[in-house]
Amino acid sequence: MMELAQQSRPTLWFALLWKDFQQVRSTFIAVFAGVFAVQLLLLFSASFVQNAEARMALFGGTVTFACIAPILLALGCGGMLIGQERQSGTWAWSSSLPASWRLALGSKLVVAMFGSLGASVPLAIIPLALWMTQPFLPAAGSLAVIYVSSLTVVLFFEVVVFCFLATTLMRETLTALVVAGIGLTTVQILLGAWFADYVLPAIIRWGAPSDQAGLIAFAIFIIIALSMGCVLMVISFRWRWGIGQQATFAFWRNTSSVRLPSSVRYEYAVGIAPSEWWMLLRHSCKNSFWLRLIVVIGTFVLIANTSAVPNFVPGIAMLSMGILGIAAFEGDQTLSRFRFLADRGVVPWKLVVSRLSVVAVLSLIVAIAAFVRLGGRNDGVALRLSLGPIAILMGAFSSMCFRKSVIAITVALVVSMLAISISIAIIGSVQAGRERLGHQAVTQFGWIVWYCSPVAVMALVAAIFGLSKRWLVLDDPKLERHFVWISLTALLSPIFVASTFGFLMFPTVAWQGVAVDKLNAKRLGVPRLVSLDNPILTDALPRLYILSRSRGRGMEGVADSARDAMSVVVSDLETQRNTPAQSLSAAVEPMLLQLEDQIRGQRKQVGDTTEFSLQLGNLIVRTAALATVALSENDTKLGLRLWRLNRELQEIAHQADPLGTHASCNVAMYMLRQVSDGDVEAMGGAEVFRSLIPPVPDERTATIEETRERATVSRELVRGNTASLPNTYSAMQGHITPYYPPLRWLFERQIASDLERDVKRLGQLPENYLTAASRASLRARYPK
Amino acid sequence: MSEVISVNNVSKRYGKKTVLDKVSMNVPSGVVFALLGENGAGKSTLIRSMLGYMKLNSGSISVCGMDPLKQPLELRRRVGYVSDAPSLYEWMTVAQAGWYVSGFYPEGFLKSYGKRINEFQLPHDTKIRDLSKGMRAKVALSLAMSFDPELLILDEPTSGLDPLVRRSFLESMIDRAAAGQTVFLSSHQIHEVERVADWIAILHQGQLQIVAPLEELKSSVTMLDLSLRDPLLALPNEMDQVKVLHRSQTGRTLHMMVRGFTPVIENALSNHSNLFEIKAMRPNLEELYLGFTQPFDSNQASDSQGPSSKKPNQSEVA
Repeated sequence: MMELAQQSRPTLWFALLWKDFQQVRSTFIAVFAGVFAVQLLLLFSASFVQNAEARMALFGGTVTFACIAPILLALGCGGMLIGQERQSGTWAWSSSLPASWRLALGSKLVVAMFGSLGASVPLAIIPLALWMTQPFLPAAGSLAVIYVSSLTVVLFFEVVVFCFLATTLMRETLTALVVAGIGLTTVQILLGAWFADYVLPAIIRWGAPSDQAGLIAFAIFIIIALSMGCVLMVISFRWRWGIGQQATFAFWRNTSSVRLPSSVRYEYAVGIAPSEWWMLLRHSCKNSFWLRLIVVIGTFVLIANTSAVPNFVPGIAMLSMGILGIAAFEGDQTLSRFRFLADRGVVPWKLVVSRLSVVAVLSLIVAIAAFVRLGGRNDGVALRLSLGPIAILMGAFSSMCFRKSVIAITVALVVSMLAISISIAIIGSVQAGRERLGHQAVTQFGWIVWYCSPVAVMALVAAIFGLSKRWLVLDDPKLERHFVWISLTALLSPIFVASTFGFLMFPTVAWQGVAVDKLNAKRLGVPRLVSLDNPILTDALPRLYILSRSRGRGMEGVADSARDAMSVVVSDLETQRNTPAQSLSAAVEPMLLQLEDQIRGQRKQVGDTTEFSLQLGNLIVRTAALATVALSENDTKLGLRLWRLNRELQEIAHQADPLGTHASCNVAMYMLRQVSDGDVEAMGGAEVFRSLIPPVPDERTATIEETRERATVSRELVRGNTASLPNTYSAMQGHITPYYPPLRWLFERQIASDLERDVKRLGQLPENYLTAASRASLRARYPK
Repeated sequence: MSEVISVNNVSKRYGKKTVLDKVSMNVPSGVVFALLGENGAGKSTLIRSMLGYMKLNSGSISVCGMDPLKQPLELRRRVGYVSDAPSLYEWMTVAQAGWYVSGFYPEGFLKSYGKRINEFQLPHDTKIRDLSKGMRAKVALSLAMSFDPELLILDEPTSGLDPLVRRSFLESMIDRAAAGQTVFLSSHQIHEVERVADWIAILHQGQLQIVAPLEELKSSVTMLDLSLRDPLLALPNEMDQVKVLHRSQTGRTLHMMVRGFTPVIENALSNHSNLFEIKAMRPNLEELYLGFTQPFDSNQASDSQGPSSKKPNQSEVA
């Protein structure tokens, strides 16, 4: 008593802020800790990855997660500050205190804004540090950075407003959050279409510069969307805080108050006692009925309105499956309906089967919709959708372990992100050495992990069924304590199984590599190189670079599509600069000058770093792609200049690290082979052209020899024998295979198998398959 | 005696269902006012209407001289309210709940709250989620009473409390009324209400059956057991002078709850040839409650038609 009496009384504002902050504190901590851990893992993974593009993707991941965090926090705030309060009844108690709706809403908004800001700012530290230290991330003032930052802020506000609005209107928190997400997307699509059709042309007619009209339209669009949302939110909050506390909409009314279906009335009439299975399945269909319906319809709408990008559609489908998974037990958890079932003596496994089966059927519909939308154009769709059962089971397991849906969805997301990051880190580290050496088959380990993904499904099913009795019977089962370690173990089990038993998938074949001593004798004389900076190019050129890289990796599909793809980039350049004739040379000129300067500097000092050879490989591919574009644009002078630069880069590469840049050189030569006879003449005739081709007498034998050397280096790296390798490779790091023998066996067998296949395939090629002499025979062999 | 609550011709409908049907009553200040009614009678709806939580279809309510819909904040500063299932923040401790709520009220709340939770023997540092149902009710009551409200509205306040605490709590309600404050409570615990209530209102299926001071009600209502020689014969004409609140019949015995039953009428009945025994008693609150809420005319063990008499309407009894 004394303690209480001595405490100072808080002000009204402080009391409300304190209460609201405490309400969402656990959400803030969960999101912050989860996202920060993921960022650290991405950094950790990046330290193993030598490929600049892959590393850029990992660094970009830290930015992506920093941008995702405020959105997650906004969802959490909407769910906990309004949805959870209404669902738990504290809303009614709070509103019986003498606090106005303005103060109550103001406090919630302040906590949502500043709490999210407080949790998000530390998450920006890693991306900011990378920004300042890594030259290949966008520059601080670039349009992309401004766009992404402003979009994150705008999205955050929009999500806060829409979540507050939906949770105020709807009784079930999770349903409200899903409706908010779908509603927000629909508003964006509808308003966006309206703006594109009517407002944007009007802004241009009113005299706004055409390059700024889009930005102005975007700003007006945001202001309108946010204003509409804010007005609706304030009206609905005021109503709900006062006279609308117990109001429900007929559309959302509890199904128990609805007239019984005819089948049930018939059963009553004729006195048929329904079976346990029948009742459970019927109850399962009605549980969270509106939530599921909204999720499925929303997914259809989103999939239909998303351009058929292979990454988006499966992503939406997977998210939808995860939410459907959470809906498996959400209805039982939120209103403690499981207690009623437990008191009726329901068999736990039957209950789980009934809940999961309904969700599985709905998820199948979603998966089919996604597959149909993409028309089966991308092989990866089926692959990614096949991981759907894991998403469903993760959602179901989290909803079983956590009573509050918002907590369940947050923790499930954070744990999934952690597991994915850990998997990427492991896959990245085991593949790093092989990728570094230009192997095209490095994704095989990823495939092995995918083959093992049913293990995760089985582990999650076992966890759900194993804990179902405890969940149903015990008053306080404390399942949340076990969720993180069980789900992490389940999600990481495929990679564990793949690492441990994956070697059984490869037969033992005869080793065709070279002796390590021979490798040393050949490479020991290479001097050191200084690091070559990867130049920052114009906005369009990095896209060209990525495009060419992706085409380069596809190899077989490059011949016909490369020119088409390049012409798209050139069109972009022309659109941006509005001077078609000068566009390409104007864009390329700064890069050319920079590269030529750097190469002149490099010739004086040559040595080794793996980073250097990677950058060199990228530059070889990029200059080859640009040269091809230049020729296709009839700019033969620029084309010749670029090819000469490419040739010089290849010489440096051959001198410094022929194995590391081997694939890049092949891509460049492959593109050179596509040059037409007309272009050859325009560039100065056969003599000039021939000077661009490396003087290799027997390309086939040389390539086979290099392939064997590369495989030997790979095997030594996998075994951890870096000290025995030439200094060119001795600096390589990041292989965990020496520490885990089963994984080492897997890679040794894979390398031997790949080598056997490569040697056999290369042996079928003409002797000089890349040089000018071979062009005619190649054209005859592979006609357009 | 001024009126703290004034309910005038209030009706509330949910869709086609009428929850409150033209309810009118006045609650004087300085009394313990008990609202009785079966489940679904409309008690909670009436209480929530008094607090401005819902709009009425017709009629008006004034609480402490204020319109609950127009001055909800001022009203909540002067009225303490505990709902039938108060949902406190489960993550708060008992002390934190008091500290939080003290921000809404003037100085002195914390001291008073500390005193009350000590009286209820509540642990300060235990989280609400770890308290039993009864202890949670005690916390909610402490929070509602600690700012010394002018009017205390309690919806099923003693539910979950143990008998000793319940008794002590109800006695404290008498003390509050004695100090000039008003307590408005709804309850199913008729025996306990009878001990503390000054005024009674009975709500049945959305209609107010009666509202009156308890003692006056008890003294004005009589329970009659009339033994009839022939149940098919009509009652004497003197019975037309009383207001029949409830009537049932068991065999040849007619049970009636009437108002305005005087010794003159009793004498007249005793001389009537069709009546061979008359028992007249003062009812207790439970009997009154049952009388007002059971069907007006029920035959408990006989299928014979009882003598005709006048059925009361609400305006007559209220």
